[in-house]
Amino acid sequence: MSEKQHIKRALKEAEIYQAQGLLEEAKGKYEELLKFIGESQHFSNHEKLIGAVEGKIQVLDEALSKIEGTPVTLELSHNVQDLIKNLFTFSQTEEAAAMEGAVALAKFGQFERALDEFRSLLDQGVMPVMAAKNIVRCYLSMNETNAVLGEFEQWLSRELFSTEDLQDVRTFIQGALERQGVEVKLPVVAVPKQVGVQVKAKKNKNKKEEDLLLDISGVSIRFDIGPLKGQTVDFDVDFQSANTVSIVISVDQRELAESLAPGTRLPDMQCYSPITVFRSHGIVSGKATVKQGPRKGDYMVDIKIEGD
Amino acid sequence: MAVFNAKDRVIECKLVFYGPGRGGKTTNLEYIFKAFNKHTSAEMVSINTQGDRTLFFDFLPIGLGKIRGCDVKIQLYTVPGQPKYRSTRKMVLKGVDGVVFVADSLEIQRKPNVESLKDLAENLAGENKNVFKIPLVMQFNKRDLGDQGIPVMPEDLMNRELNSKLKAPYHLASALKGTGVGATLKEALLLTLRHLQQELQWTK
Repeated sequence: MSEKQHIKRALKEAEIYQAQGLLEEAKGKYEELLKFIGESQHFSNHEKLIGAVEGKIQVLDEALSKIEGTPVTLELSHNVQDLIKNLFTFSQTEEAAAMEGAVALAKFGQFERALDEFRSLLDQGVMPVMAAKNIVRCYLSMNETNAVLGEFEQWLSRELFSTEDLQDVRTFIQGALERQGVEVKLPVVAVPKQVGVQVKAKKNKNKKEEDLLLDISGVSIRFDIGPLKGQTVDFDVDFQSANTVSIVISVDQRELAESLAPGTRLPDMQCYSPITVFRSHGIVSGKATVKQGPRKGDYMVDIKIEGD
Repeated sequence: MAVFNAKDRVIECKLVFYGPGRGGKTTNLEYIFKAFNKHTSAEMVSINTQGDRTLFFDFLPIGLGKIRGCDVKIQLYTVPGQPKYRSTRKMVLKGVDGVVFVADSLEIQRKPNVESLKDLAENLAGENKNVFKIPLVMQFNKRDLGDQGIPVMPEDLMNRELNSKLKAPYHLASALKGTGVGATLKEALLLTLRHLQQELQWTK
């Protein structure tokens, strides 16, 4: 193949990659071509060729930086948000489905609408602790720490929660803020004057259902296979969504992270909640790398707790 | 998770198109939407971002009509292929009944194909599903680009590299032209409905 043919072919290849939306690959091809032309000084239009290819690389760089700059989420229309709620809700009961729909909205980055839905659930007394914690998660995802504090102060003055639940929510917020490196002392939950009497929440339609979804603050996992066989490792729980908990493992603990590959069954677990400790079993349902914040680069492992 | 309403004799199931970014998953759905518009009762929903990349998912509901006295409804989804949208892919895979893995035949996409298949296996495992057991059909897309002198992987190599252990049925395709799209979908539906018959006995 002559040099001219080689250039023609490389140009065509790069153009097709670009048309396919494979911008990095197209750029790579143009860079390869640039090097080739640079090494073959004898073309009469040498400078012109180099200028043309550099121009194409510049166009690709602009397109790539536009894509890089695109937010990971965007605000969708009300109709599409409704569709998301509808498509990603699998629970049979109306109230659990409403909670699941709101969580789906939050997971797809539709935080404003999700906040409305969680607030509505809270006002109706549907799983209020879970609704409150998800409100906190939404605000933290939006980097609105002050809103978390404002919301908590409002909760203190409304009779939406029992004293015990309010304390639970407070502990959750305090922990979540600390993990984000925010040092704030939250207002203390007032305990009623009469000894032994707790303020009852006005309404909590799903108290029984919500109690089943205990707030888990830590887990101990005993490994029965792999390089850590026979060892028990304790973890703090960073996030919880229904019966799935997320733990963070330092990037330095590669062996530990590798022992928790998605699909790994964990037959011997101990779960710690503020009110009880129970044995359980679970399955690793996901693993990802933390993309931002103080724990950037560490592993985030999701574990679905299957037994109680 | 398929839903079978025994009283009204309606079965609804979910098929997800998975694969590396820019491999042609959305193009498959667009072709299906155009070609099978008799069977579609709603618009196709696409949530894209800059450069026409899928941000969340594409969604297309289709109705197959009555099969053995049962009204069969299918929900087709695509996932965003770019590696950074892993959590969205996990979300879209929830309740999946069958998968079409759209592999890109371009030689430069060899590694992304393998990585995407590994990602699929891991995400399925997180859903308590096994990539070896779920109804799965492979599609080796963009075969037409070979005719334009662009380096594409030979069929044998792709089958060996992606499918030697899975042994899933596969189809050669050019989704942009529609070649192989119908055959892929037909086989995926057949496998999925057969699998659901074992689980739900929906044709009884």
